Amino acid sequence: MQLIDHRLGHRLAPALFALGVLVTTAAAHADTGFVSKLQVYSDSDRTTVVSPMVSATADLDPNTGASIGYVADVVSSASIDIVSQASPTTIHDTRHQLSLGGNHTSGDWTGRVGYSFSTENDYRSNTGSLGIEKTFDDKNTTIGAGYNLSLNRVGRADDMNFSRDLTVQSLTFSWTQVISPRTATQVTYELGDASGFQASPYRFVPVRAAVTDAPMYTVAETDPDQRYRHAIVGAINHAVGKHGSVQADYRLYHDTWGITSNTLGLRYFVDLSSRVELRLRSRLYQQNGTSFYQSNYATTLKYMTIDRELSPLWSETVGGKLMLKFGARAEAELKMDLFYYHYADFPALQSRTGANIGLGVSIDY
Amino acid sequence: MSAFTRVAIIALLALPATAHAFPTGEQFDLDPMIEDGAGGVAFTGAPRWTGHTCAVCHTGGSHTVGLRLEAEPTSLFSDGWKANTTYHLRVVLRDAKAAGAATALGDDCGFAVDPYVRCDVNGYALEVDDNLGRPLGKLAALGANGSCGSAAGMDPDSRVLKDGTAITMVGTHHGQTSWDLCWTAPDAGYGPMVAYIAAVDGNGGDGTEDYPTDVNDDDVAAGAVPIVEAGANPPVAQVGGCGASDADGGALVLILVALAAWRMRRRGLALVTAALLAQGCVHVRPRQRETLAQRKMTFAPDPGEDELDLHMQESREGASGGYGSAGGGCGCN
Repeated sequence: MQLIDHRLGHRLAPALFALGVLVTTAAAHADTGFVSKLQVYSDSDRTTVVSPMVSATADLDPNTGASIGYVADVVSSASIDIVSQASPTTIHDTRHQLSLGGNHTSGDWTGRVGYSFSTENDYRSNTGSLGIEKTFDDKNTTIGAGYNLSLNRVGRADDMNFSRDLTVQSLTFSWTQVISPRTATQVTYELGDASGFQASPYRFVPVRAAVTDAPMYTVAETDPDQRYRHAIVGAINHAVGKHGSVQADYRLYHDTWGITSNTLGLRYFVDLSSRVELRLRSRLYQQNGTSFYQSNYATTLKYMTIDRELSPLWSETVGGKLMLKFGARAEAELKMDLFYYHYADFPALQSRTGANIGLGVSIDY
Repeated sequence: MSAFTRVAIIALLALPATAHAFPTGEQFDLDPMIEDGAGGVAFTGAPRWTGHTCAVCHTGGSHTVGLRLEAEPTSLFSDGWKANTTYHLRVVLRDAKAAGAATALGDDCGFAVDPYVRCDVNGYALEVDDNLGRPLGKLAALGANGSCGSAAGMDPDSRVLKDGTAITMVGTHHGQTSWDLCWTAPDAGYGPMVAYIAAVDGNGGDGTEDYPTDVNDDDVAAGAVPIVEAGANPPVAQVGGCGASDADGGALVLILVALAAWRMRRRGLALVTAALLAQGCVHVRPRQRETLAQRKMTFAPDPGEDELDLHMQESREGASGGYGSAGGGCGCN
């Protein structure tokens, strides 16, 4: 993450946003959908992220669809992560991401391809994806498989000589089952593999006898180069009454760095009227720390990190979203999520709270 | 077709509902969840659709339109169907007037002229079932030379659903009120059959290019034409299969979970999977998916929001995966 104000990036964001609008508007013919969202994240750790997003989908023929999307993250942060490194008090950065996708259906088979390019001041990412799914039993059962490959180049601002590679792959298998006219379930398993540089190029770990002592010296953060992730998600959707539905999902996650986590999500949808839909949701997340995480290092070890995301933590998110229909083809949305993160073993920060506020509009042509 | 024997059956149904129109015929085969289609369902009024017809969606008509089914050879109605014989059928929509204000300028349903004119687009669906409700025989579009069995033309009247069980109109043609098709009878022994037909007298949407069709103020006619088998052989016995059910079957899930819990105490993951998948045999038919087709019942009702949320979560937590793509980039702040 670059530690200076990048005016070019700030100019590029609205320009690309406008370009996205023009591209998607120009492509807006029959069977075309257009979505635009703006999401603002702000937390008590002095981090703000503004994320504009535009995307468009079009049916090229009855069996083939295409999509294009653009999203940006405009970040301003003076978090404890940054302040503790004696950096300038506030950093600014902008991430741009362009995505392309396509899908084709032939009989019971559907294939998908996707590509995205993401760039920020010190990080570039090229990601490709392939997916295929087949329906069985009068479309009551859908089996899917997917593969993602992401090639990343990690840099360090103002350091032309720093360049590291990170390759991330994942295999996904899913089984979606309609079990009644009002209930559907889904099980997804994802195997991930990250290989390469996974530490922060900006983080240096203090070595000291105790947390309250002055550091004897600092060493660059070092994480293992290899990380295998396993995630399995079970989800169920059930219609409630004539105008509502409840969705629940649970994820069990484990990786070879020693993190085991549990995630429980609940969502309730209800039509307040023919034009207004409300969604309420709650998300509870818990994890332990990696096997090599310590709140303080008294001596140098092979792997050392002060990444709070690798420490034991739990979080809770609650929020609501209103979706307002305008005619048969347009919809606007307004959402707000409130979240709380608690760090059980991270001396520099015990918790953070914040909000995620979003606006959006979608139009089908 | 003057030599055709005419059998006119009029049966009007009016079931209130809302949905999109399927003006091109191809939409009957598209996925209702993601492609605004009918999921392979053509509401012909047959028992497998519990008698539902086009009137499930098309409402507000004057209930004055009628139907006629014609056949050649005419012996189909006088003597009954004969095994492996091909019949040329014609569905005729009588007294169509819902789009009486439409102007007949070109065949491409209003798009052949500029400015656009209101379109009079109509449609139909037909299937032939035995007395056990099974679609039988082979349906096909009329050949290019106007006879059954010849190669299909460039612009046939009709289109067979992918699973072959029903036939519908194809394309959008201004003012069309009759459609030709072919039906080849099955092997002997299936006994009496019924041709189920439903048709829509469309009123041309709201009269604009943006909404050339919709389901409002359209008239619907439906009927069932009995066809005996020449020789009157007894029907074939029904074979087994997975039964349809409107029930949730939650009790079955609980029983299976309880059994699994008793036998595999420490395999929580297996329990979750068993609970989710144990009901695979409950067969939910396309017509029963009205609720499941709603956005709020899909597993990713807002993929754009999911990507933004996942990108934020995965940069603030140690776990990732299982919920879809979070996009690229670091998210290191």
